[in-house]
Amino acid sequence: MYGNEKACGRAIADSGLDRAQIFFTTKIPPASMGYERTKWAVDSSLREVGVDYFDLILIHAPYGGKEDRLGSWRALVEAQKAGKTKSIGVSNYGIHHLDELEEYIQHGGGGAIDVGQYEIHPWCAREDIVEWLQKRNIVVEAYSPLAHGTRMGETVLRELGRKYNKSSAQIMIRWCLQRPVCHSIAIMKLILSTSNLMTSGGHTVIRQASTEKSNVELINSLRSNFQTAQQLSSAEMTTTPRYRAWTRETADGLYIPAIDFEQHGLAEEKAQYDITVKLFYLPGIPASRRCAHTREAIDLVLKELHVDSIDLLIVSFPGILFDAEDDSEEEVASDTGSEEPDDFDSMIRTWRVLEDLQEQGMISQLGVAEFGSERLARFLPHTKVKPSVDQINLKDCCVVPKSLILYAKSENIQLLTHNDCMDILPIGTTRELLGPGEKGAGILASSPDAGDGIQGDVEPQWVVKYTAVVKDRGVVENKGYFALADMGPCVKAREE
Amino acid sequence: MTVAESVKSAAGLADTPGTALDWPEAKKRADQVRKWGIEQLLANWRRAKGKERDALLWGDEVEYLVVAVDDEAKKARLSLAQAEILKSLAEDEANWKSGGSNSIQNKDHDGEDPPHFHPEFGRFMLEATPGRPWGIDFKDLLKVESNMKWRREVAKSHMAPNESPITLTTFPRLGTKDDYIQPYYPPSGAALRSQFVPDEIANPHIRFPTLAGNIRSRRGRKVELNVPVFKDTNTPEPFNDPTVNYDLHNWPEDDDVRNGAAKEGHVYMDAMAFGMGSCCLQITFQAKNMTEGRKLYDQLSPLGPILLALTAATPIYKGFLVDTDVRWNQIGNAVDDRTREELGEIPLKNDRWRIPKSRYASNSTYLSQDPRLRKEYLDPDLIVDEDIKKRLIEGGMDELLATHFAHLFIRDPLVIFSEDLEELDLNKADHFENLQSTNWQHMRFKPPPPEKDDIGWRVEFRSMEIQITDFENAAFSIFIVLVTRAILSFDLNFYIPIQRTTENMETAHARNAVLDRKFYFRKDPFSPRTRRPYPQSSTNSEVSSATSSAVNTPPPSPPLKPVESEYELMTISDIINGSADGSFPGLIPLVESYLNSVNVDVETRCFLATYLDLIRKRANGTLWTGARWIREYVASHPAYKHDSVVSEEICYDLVKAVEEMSVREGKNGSVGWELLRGKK
Repeated sequence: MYGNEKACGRAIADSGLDRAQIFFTTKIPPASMGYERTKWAVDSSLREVGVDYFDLILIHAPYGGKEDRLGSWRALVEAQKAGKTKSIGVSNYGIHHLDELEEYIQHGGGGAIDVGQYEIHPWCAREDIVEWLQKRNIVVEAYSPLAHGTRMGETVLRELGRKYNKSSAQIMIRWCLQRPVCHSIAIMKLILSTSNLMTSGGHTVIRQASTEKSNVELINSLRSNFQTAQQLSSAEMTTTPRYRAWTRETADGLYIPAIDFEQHGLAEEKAQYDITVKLFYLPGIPASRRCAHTREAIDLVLKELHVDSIDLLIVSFPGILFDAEDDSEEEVASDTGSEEPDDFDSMIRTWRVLEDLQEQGMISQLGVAEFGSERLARFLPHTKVKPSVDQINLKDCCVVPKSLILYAKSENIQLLTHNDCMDILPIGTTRELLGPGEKGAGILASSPDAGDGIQGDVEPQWVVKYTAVVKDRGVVENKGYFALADMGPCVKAREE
Repeated sequence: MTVAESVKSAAGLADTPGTALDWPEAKKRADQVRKWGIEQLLANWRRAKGKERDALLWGDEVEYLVVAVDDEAKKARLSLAQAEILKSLAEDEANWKSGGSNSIQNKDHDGEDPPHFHPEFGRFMLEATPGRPWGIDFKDLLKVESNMKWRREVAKSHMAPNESPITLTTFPRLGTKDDYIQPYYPPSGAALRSQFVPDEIANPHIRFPTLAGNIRSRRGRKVELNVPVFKDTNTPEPFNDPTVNYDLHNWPEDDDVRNGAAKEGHVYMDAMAFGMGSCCLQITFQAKNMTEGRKLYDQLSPLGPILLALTAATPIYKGFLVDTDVRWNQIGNAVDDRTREELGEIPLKNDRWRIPKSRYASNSTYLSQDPRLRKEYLDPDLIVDEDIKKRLIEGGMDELLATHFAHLFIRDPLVIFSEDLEELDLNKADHFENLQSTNWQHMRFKPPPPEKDDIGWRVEFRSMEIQITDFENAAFSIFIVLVTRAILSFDLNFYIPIQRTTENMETAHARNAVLDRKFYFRKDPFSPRTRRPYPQSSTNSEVSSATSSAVNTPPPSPPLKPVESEYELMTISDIINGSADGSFPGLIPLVESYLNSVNVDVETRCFLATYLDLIRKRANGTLWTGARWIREYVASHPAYKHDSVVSEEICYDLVKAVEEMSVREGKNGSVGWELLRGKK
């Protein structure tokens, strides 16, 4: 697009840096719009640069008519699935182009817009587009934040510059940063893990925690795993920032703590185990990301346990809480009441993704959590693969509505119990967990200028819990969590 | 009490087992039996040590007293009809197996094998086990209680209309002067030589009278049980057991009481039947392999005294309220075959050792090759037969296991059939079992039987008292099963010095020990995290190879603290429910945490919740133990004179109440709500 792909490739090769430490973006030029041409363009760009993957591919502009635009998108989605790029996005799309693409995605086109790139500076604020993107938690990337250098002499910049003793360029960057928009920096993924809770020293055994709002087991075990990794990493080692000594950055993201996937796995062969995985989609995260999130989560579990399939995947949609008292799931808002309960259509769309994975043999059975009989009755007709499990939190009482028992029985759905809490990993907790404070892991920078950690906001995307039980002995051999959080200057902080 | 095990597991109750040797003869052959037993053990151990991947199978054993109630005379008696009942039950089972119809069939138990019934030492006893062992499928756990109830029904259907199986640990008036057995036999027979019970009280199979007789002969006098009497307001002071006859002259052993066998302030008993006539609740687990079995043996051992106190149900002996709540030591005394030399009453001359414990006692060894097992936990004064230990180690066995068996084999075999001594068969375990199964410790480690390939290494948990209702018996059985799963899943560590467990066992005897006493228990049941650090990647240029090896090596584990700092005295409620300050998590929260980690269906979880609730409330005092309920029942009975005496009338009413309780289970304020529901 800009004729510098080859040079960039050389620069990467010469730098001696790990590919994972570089964020490489390329674009689909207007001449390559349309499915076939875009497909070819991606492959030829990879060859040109000499890398295995891009971190981001953007469609440069909405040229070529609807068919070509959507065709190009389809090619990018495929490229992403094939691992040729980590993320995909668009540039210079107007609101109506974005709407067109969103409709396409939602009606089976697939993929998710990770990034929207625009020229944004004080004289081109694009507030409507920024709002559209941010509503959907799409990363807004700004190009030309300095307005091509043409506005450096503007009075307002000069005045502000005098006031704060900064250059005009610094003022413009600050303006950009203070808006919830980022400048050519994309998100970083943080992969949090607990390791095996069963052998972790009992930090997770808690008494009667049914009243707890956050998941004590998850939080405690993450914290304890971080602490252990910190203690084990040599104290004399002077890496800066300190967290680099016990975390590990790879193409997938930053593993907190570092995981050696060679070391884990199960003691016996897969057939001896029942492997149950529960995936929590978190409130406020667009449903359009769930396809990618589901794969990401399951891949991690498979890697951790050294298996190629799991026996049961239970998905937990945000905001649904089954109430045993009256068999009507309440649609509970999170703390501030600002969250919408998951809408029905997006659940169905998510279920399609799961059905695909099931069809591929990666999962034997699917399940849902906290569905009452009404929701089940509404849900089942839309499924190809019926949930075989509905997981319900019984808290202290054992009151299960008869209607649900009967309905589940008639549909051959097993009612299982769980004790997971509603909002399993709130942002505030995540921040505290990773933050610089006493209880934190020191991943996040202590102040906006400090170099002791990562700058920006953190947003948890999903949490997955996995359990491997030896079938005919009832022994829980391995249980743990992975959680994924996005991190970066542009990740919008959800208010809690 | 499971004395019949030696029978079941060895020769079977054959009609003509052979010639049982009397003590002087048996003693001469003791070394041969031990030697052959050790050779059988070694052969079997070599064959079975590599057995792997056995499933969790487990079984419970429920023991019953058969009572006959005479409503007209208002009397409850023990029925000696065991043989007839078992015969009828066996015919029924055979009939069921051949497809015929009979009373066993029951639509509620479709797919379940009919229960097995076994003889026991007492002729008034029955033992029943599930027809097939249980698994760990949680739906299996739901069947346990109904299966126990089914066993009761089946047993009852083979009894006379006025007879029924009850699950009291002991019959309150066993050994009194009146006609407490049916049919009646006068006391003072040749085998037991008891002044309180007749020989006919015991199973007539030659094995049992021989066992009782040889214990007495070896010991050189009758067994001696002195249980402190419960001193009520009208109990005579000093209390001298008024039922003791000092003027009997039928047998040389009648001199025992004249030589001071009956102690002041105590209820005195003089026969094996007073101990081995008690009913227990025992659970046996099959482990995945020998290693897991040894681990479970060690980890369950400290729980023995805790569960004994929690299941306490034995406040009456021989028609008196006593000041202890559990049966354990009385059984220990009832089969104590130690000589005066072994007891330390006179200097060692003919015998090899002073032996601190009865054959029936808390266990004295740990077995697991677990790095967490510190040598300080072992009994420094453990008596072992060094020759046997040497032979086992030469045979390839490791030191810990060899020590365990060399400890069990300090005892003499008690029942020897001369026919069995003709040839050593290494494919059998009869000589090994002769000693193994007459070591009645509170844990038992069982090698796979050589003749059955499908049975693995097993561990038996033996300390619990039988409970009045099957709801309670199911609750405690399932609780222990779940505790084993939590132990294995969380890799729990309950190790304390084994002498503390011995002391706990004594503590558990005290009246109301469950609430009033404290027990030694390990403070932190978790093992330190053993996670290895992640090796730094070579691409991280900041890390030189010199520092990366430092990262790879975990810091040396902190030096071990003194053993004494690892445990402390805790209440049963702290041990079961967790301590108030959260420092000890509690067995119930551990079990719940385990259950939260596995897929349990709603119905099962709610069922399990009622069981766990019973145990939680027993531990914190909301619900009474059986012992407390029986005490209160007697104390509030209009005929009770507050003189510690449990009369025939009270005994009759108590048995009727217990019968009712086993059916209505304290529901709607019915009898026994205090120990089952906590509210009317």
